[in-house]
Amino acid sequence: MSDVKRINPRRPYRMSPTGLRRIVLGEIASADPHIGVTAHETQQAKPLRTREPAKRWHMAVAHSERGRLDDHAREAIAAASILATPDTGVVAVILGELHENAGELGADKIVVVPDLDATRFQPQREEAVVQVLLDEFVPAHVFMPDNLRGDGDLGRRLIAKDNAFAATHVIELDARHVSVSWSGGAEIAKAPLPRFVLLAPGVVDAKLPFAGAGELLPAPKLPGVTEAYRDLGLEPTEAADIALEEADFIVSAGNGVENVETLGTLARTLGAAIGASRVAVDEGKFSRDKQIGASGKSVNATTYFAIGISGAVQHLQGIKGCRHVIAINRDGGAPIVKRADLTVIGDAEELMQALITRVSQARNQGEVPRSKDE
Amino acid sequence: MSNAFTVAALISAGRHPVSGAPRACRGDAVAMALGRRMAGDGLRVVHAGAAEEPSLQDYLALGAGTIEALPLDSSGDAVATLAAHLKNVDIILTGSNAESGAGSGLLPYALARALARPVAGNVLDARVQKTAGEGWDVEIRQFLPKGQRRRIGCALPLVIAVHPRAPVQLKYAYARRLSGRIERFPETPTDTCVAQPVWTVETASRRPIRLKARETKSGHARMQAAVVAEAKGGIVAFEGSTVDKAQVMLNYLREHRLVDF
Amino acid sequence: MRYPSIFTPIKLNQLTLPNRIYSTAHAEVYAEAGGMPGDRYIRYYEEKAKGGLSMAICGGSSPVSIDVPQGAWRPVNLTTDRVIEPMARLAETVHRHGMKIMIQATHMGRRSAYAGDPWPHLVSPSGVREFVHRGNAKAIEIEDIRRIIGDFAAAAKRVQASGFDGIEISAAHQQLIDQFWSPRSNMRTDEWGGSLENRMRFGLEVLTAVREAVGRDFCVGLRMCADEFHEDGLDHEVLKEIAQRMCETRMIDFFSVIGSGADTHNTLANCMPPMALPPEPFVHLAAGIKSVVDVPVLHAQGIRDITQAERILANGLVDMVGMTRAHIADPHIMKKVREGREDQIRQCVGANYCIDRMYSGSDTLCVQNAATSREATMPHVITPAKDARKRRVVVVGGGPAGLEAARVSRSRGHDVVLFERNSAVGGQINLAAKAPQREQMAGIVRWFDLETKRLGVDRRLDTEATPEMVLSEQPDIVVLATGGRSFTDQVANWGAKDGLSVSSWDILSEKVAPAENVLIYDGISAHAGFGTADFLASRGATVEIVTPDAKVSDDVGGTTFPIFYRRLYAQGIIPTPNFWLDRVYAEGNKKVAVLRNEYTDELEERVVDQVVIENGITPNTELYTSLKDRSLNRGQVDLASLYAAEPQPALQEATDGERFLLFRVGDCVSMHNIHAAIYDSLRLCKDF
Repeated sequence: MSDVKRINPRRPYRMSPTGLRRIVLGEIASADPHIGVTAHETQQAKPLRTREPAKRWHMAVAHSERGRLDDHAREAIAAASILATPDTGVVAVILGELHENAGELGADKIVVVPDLDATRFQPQREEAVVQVLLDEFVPAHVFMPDNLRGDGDLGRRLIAKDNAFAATHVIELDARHVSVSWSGGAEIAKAPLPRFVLLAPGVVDAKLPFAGAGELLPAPKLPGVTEAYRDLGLEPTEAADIALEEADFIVSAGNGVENVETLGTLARTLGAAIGASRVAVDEGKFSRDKQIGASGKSVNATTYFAIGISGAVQHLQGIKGCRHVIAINRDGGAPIVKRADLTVIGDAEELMQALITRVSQARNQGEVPRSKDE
Repeated sequence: MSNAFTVAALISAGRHPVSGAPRACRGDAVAMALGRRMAGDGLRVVHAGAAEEPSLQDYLALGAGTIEALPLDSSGDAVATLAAHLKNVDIILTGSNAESGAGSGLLPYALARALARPVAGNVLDARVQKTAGEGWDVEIRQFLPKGQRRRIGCALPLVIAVHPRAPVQLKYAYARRLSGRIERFPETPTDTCVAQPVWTVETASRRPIRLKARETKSGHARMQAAVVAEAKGGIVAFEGSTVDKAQVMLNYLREHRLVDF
Repeated sequence: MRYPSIFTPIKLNQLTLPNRIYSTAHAEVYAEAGGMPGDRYIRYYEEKAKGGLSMAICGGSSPVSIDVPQGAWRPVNLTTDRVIEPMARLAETVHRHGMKIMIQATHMGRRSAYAGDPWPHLVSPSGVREFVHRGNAKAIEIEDIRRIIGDFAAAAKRVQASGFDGIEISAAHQQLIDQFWSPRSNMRTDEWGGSLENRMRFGLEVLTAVREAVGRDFCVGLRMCADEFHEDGLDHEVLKEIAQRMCETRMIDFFSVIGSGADTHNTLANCMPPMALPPEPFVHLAAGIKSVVDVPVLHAQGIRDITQAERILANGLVDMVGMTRAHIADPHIMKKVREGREDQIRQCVGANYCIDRMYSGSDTLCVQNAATSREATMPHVITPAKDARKRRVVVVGGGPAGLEAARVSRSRGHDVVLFERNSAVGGQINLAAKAPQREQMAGIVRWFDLETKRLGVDRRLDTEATPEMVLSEQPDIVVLATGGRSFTDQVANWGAKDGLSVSSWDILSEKVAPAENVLIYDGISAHAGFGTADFLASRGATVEIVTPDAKVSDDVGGTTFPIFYRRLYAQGIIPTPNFWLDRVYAEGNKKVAVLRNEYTDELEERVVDQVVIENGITPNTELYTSLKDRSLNRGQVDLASLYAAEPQPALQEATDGERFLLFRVGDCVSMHNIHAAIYDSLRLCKDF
């Protein structure tokens, strides 16, 4: 041991009554000194939008997708709650299963109808169920995403039935008015906020500084309806044929992927489209139209496998709209790890092979997945 | 082709999105082409509006043959006029959205409601078949996002709103424009239903304002929101064999219902 | 067409622009004495015009009044009629190539430093000091206000008289107009402060005077911020209100919108978003302004790629996209896009060498393109040598210097062999790209990699060149770009040889895993030191960074150190400036670092698990030493010719493979940065 002063450069501190770090000059060590990294901010629960009892209602209706709501559906609920006065309640009607908290999205009451899943075509039952709820709540305004996933269709059916003034493809709204674009965008038409509002995507900022009460109501009984339509099912789709921008499941390769064939096999096994990082494209492993990122395509897949992709900001820009990001990477410090919902550390080739084997088994043997408690 | 079922396609005035020049509405032209494939020369082509509408010439060139022009009465209620005119037609085809005016995509739904028949939207293809009995049945291929397509069966009559990406070929021929004709129908009075609200229409000059909850965020928080791309990060699996790790991934996919096996 | 939105023409007042990409006003620091645009200035913009750009706005922060110091950024001096003639030459030159040109005009108020000609008393609404520029200022008086409004009008007249296509009035980055807008700098209680209407009065009177001076048909734009990000400043909602009111006057033909205030170090770093920020971080703010105005909205900031620009335009977020740094890196973007040569675009990576130089008062240069602003002597497009015979050029080392030497020599029409001992080209840039949020440094290598392949350079990767291998190529010219190695053995007591300390290279290349408690000693204060500290911290290490400099990362520039400091404080990295590393010794399984204070000479110790040293490089000279005596020119570069951008006299000598010329470039001579390494090669090889 030398006679040179040994110094811990981290000054001891204690927490002040207001929760700030407090350094007392002259104090050499405190009884319980916190040392080191700044404490992480505690995530505070959002305040409730209102505590007043509801005298009237806004309703949002949307289909879920795999138990979650997409941005467009969230925007419809957000619109209903942003435009609600303190004595107006927001009821969200979710067709299909829901495994997330709609209260955080702004809903005070939530009705989930798991049987009316978007993958099935049963418009008349949907119409009948929503009608029951419309009769019950008599909402002043009904907000729906104007999409091709069934909400735009259902909304128009409800509007035609109601025979009331309504607005579709709404591009702007506030408490008093809606705007829609006419004549292919050359004109803007304004009207007072109608009862039915079908929203174009991106019109509402779904990030809310408040939450709804989020009370889950029992689903109404499905009325006995004989559908005029026979749902003959979804066509099997060849993922490889789907444009990347449209694909729902993408496996994407970076320069950590040596063997393009393995990636192809994995894509086929999972029924996924193939994408690539710019580096992988530059290396000539993929064509330019596969490139995902700020300088390539922006994708909106529900599931995005980032294999051997470090995750430069440019790439992350292109996958902003992806719901579940699963990364396979050698480096636990790569930026993609911060973006990914699940990161598996290891060699890309080995992990792809293992996943191909495991998924093929699961598919072929039709094994029953372990049921998870919700 | 002779049919025991009847098909009509509705066409509306189109406008070029940039120049504003009159032209066939692309979506309606696609619907008309699909109708032609289903009914051959038996297809009726119907326009609710003035026979003088310049874009009708374009439809003639695209093979409309004869266009039935139905002048609208003062109430301008196209739905009632069309419902009255088409009540005996088995299949009514429309585009998904008109190019001029509101383009709300509501017309096929309102028309179906007025005629008390089913309606199918975003249709890419429709094929009519004889059922086991005497009736006719149509099988529809419907567009869904993310590359999905659905098949739907339905008995006649019905209304079909055609998706603009329906795989049909549009062929423009000047000769057909000359040989085609426009048949004017007299104005038929209709019961006016709902008074439509007044839309104030103006030239689109600014970007729409996004609806946003009022929020007080500190200046630094606003900056962070814009400049920090990183998220919090999720689960990281370091441990275990590659087989274990493959299982971790499969579990994740199953847990979030991202796969159906 | 592949970029339909970009190539949709747009009208700004009476001007019709053929495409929607332009270059925004930036401080070039090229103007000649007295603030006159001279030959260098004109050629710089002429190159963009040749490259197919639709419009450039030049002269960032060009002052309209004589009480704005002009020493620091050498802007265009709009205060005198003498500027009209040189500006007219500039306008005429770029017009020949079909490019429109405007200039930014401003009064900077407190956004400057008084300590320089003409040693003014700066003015600001309430005399509140500006932090970034140490801008002490007096509270502006009504007489000053009247004078400055008149100065704006007179300057606008000069711009019009010079044949320019328009003028952009700056109310962004906290210039005098937005100093009036912002409650942060305006606490007045008279008719120039208080209510929004009062705070807007000065700007409105400026615009009224400008519009009266130039008439209805001259293009007048307003550059403004859309959120200052300061608690006591202007937020998005207020700035939307300002934009709407400004627009309703019908005096403004376009808005050029930026995000972020600029009067603190931390906000200033956002304004020209460095590579750490996500792409187009502030486009949503510009889109917000576009929702309240009905004239075109122009926006730059972090839009560096043509596909990205197309997507932003196609989504209708803004009407024109500024790609300013992108055009500093490659002034020929639009030409290459039109010709389907996107992969040949030298893409800006956001290293901010340009702007970091500007903030230290140096001229704007590009980290990866040494020809930019040197158009008089350095070509952007290398043409084959006309009468010179085809030579055999051997380049050793595939870092930036070697890559540029290979690219330029090959473009001159010579046979070029490039030896690189690693499996990929890029040299130290590949290490630089390992630091967190610095990945885009690799974009510099990307272009050289693609270009040297496209041009047909004979690249021998994984090959460590020996003298025999070089000679067996029968070279006419040998260019050594062998770089250096980590200079951890400068001080024997650091114990690098004994494994007591490791190098920053060891860490970034992942040769050595980060330990738990790490002291990093940064003797250089450039990007590598903090980059390594960040790499360590982001992998969970507890880190202290020690440097003898006055502050950590002292040598990285005004828009880069704030990015580093954000990460430094967020990760709890301890900055310890003003200490030298004396020695490292082991104690059990710990390492003890002995530090010496620069100013007291006192020693102190740190007990850690790992000591990492960043001390730059020492040149690799082995190959040079063995080849030097055998070369015709004994490895010497004729400095007079080099600095005059003239051919090396030795090129006149007959070479034949036995007799060859030998040159060195970049780090293998002495430690240089990327720009310098590339410039070394360009100026040497352009005449091969």
